[in-house]
Amino acid sequence: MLVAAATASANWMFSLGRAIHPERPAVNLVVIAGLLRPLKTLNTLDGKPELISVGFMGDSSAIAYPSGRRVHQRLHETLERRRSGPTRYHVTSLSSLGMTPAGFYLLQDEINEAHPDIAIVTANLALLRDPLPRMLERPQLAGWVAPERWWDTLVGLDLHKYGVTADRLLLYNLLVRADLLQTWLLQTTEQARLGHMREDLEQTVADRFGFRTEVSTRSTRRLRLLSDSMQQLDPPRRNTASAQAYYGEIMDGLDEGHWVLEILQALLEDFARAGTAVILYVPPINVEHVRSIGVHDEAGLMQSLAALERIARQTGAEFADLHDILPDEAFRDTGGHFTHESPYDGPLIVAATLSTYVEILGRQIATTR
Amino acid sequence: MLFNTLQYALFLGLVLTALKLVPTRARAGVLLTASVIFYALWLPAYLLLLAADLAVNYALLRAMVRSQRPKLYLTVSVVFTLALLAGFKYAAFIVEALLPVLELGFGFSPDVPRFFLPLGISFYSFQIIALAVDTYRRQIEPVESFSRYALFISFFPQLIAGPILRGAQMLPQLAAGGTPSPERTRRGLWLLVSGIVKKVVFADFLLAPFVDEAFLVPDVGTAAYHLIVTYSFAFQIYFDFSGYVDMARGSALLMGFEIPTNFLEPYLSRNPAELWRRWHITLSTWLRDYLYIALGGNRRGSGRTYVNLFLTMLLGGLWHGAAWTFVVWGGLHGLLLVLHRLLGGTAGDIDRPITLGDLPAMLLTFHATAFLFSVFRAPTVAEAGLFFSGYADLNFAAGWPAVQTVVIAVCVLSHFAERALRPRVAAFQRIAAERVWGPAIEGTVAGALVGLAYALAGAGGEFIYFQF
Repeated sequence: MLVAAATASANWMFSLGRAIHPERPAVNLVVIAGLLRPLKTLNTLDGKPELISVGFMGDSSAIAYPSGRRVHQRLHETLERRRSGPTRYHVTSLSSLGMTPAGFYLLQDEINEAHPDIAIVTANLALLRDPLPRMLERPQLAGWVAPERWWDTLVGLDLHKYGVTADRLLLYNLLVRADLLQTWLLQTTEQARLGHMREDLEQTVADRFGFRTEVSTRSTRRLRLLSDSMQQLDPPRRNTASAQAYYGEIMDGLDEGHWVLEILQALLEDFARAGTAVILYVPPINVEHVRSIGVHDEAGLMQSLAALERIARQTGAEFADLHDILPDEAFRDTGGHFTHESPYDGPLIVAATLSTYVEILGRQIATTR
Repeated sequence: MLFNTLQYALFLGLVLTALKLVPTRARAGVLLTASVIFYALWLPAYLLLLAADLAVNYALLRAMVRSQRPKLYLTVSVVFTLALLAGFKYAAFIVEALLPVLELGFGFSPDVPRFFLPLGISFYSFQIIALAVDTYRRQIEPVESFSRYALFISFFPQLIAGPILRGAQMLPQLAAGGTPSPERTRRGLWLLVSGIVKKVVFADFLLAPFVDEAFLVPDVGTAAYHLIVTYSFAFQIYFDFSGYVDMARGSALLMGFEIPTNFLEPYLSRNPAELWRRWHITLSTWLRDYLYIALGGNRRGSGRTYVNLFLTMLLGGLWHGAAWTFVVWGGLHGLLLVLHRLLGGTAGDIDRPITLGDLPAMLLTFHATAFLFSVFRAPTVAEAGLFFSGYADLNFAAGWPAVQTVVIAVCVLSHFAERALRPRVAAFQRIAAERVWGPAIEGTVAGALVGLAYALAGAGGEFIYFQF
């Protein structure tokens, strides 16, 4: 009876949430489920001798563009266009908004199982931060970490800064291994929908009874936040505060002891052990802009890049430093998102540069087959 | 591991099963193992620090008991414990505060140390000190074994955020291995349900989103709007922390242990002194017994008493975190207590029933408390100032947030209901146990409340007091 009452109550709340907030909210698990699908595609490519599979592991700097114009798609096009021999390339996007090396480290066992020939790992300078903003944490990914890597995950690396604690790792693993992902996804989505219920209720009260205070204060507050972020800036992307938040730490100069770099190194070492060729890629940042607003520190930046390059060399990865290949006009904001129209098609320029690295590795792989 | 999670429910279930299966003499061993696992399940690395802290302090405690100069060992133990706490919690704050002086005066600009704060260190450090002082004062028998000592400090229901236990309360219970009974089990389950509802439904769902959004841009809205924000955070922190404590007490009761409560409807206090006998009771009694009295208490004249009161509250504020907002919050509470005492006030009989005549004093005390909690909530003192500037229009006629005003009314009613129901809970439970349908009705209500909390848990987060 107790369980029945609890289930009925939860179900009633869930149905109420669905009625009030019909949209399916984006939760971490949806993002994660979105990453698992392309891994299956990658898996099907394994064993085709004429095909080189490329897994592109990026963040919003790679995918925040209309379909067809994303970096992995541009890379695929470029490689196809330049193809001269029998070797073909298939680029699969494993990118997701806000994904960091920590997220990919947790998903490493799944990626290894799909066995891409080449992994392009993004080291976005804007995400090498301590602490990482809470919204970028994806501890649910710990559900896919195999037991052999639990010790490193919990003790060797600072993944607690990514929200990974031992109890979460165990529970999420249990859910994944018991094949409860769909149930987990459904429950989490419904809970998130209920999280939106409050806002929708306020809107209903405002519409029906004319109490507009909560709703209107919220819009004022959001407008204020927006105007604060644009205050000193003309055009809006010239935001000193956000540039400082994004790049302040790398401009101070990082070394291999930084928690994200330690995780990145572990990720690349795992790829090396699995026999996957790796390109460690630093996406472009708006160097002109950060210089113009006084955030730029050449020595610190070079120190950070040198640390990244050392990690790449130590783990046998190629290092593609693209941090300064785009001019100011090729950026649409401070966060390293590019314009994707002529004359500066950022994703295309990045893809063209990366394609050279891919082809070099591709030729090596093809000759060893 | 948070109490309001599925993993904690599984963990507690396993511990209770293990306790049921083993003989009484092995229960302490099960509990110590469970406590170690509980702590390691957050971050295994924390365990090393806790173990080192316990080992050193236990060695000092034993040396103190055997020594002719016990005060020396007590001093070393207190200094060691406070040094660890200061190192992990306050190093960055101290360096940042001294930075201008160091840079201007000495041309020295040290890096600000960034340590990761070990979970529960503020709470277990105070418990270690309390046990050492009580042993020194011969108020308790010295603990004879390291395992008992370690279990007392690390007992998992209270390890992360209290209540801060005393040896006299807990050591005899631990020695007996806990004495579960149907009455304790029933009470424990209800406390767990109450804690989950307080935390998930009230703190995280009804209150936190509104407060978080308001403090994002603290000066937007009328005075009326700000008043509701002020009330909302006061209730959020109450439901958050008292929800945690209910779950801690509930878990302990299921295992057969009574641990003290931390809250007795604090917002119904009639003066600041009474407030501190109703709010975070185990911390305020700790501060009284081990700081205020150590400073001289009220034994050295009225002037010194006021200074001691103020200092105690100031340090109590700082205990909450390494930030100026906590210092200001503690200091202002200290001033309130001094002012209350200057006006000849005492805590009075806190069990005296509330009358209509108490209403003005209750409202005044509640508002002072709630306003000071806004300082506590603000990320910086400057932002607290910005928040209070939102009151400047004195417009209490417009801008009431309709939904949240209803939420606050529910919170106020629930506070009165808690006061009214608390003395009657035992009687209700007795009646429910005697009636045939009692357990079914009880189970259904509890199940529905847990189901409701589960459905709303998407907004859930960590307990506010975990950061301290």
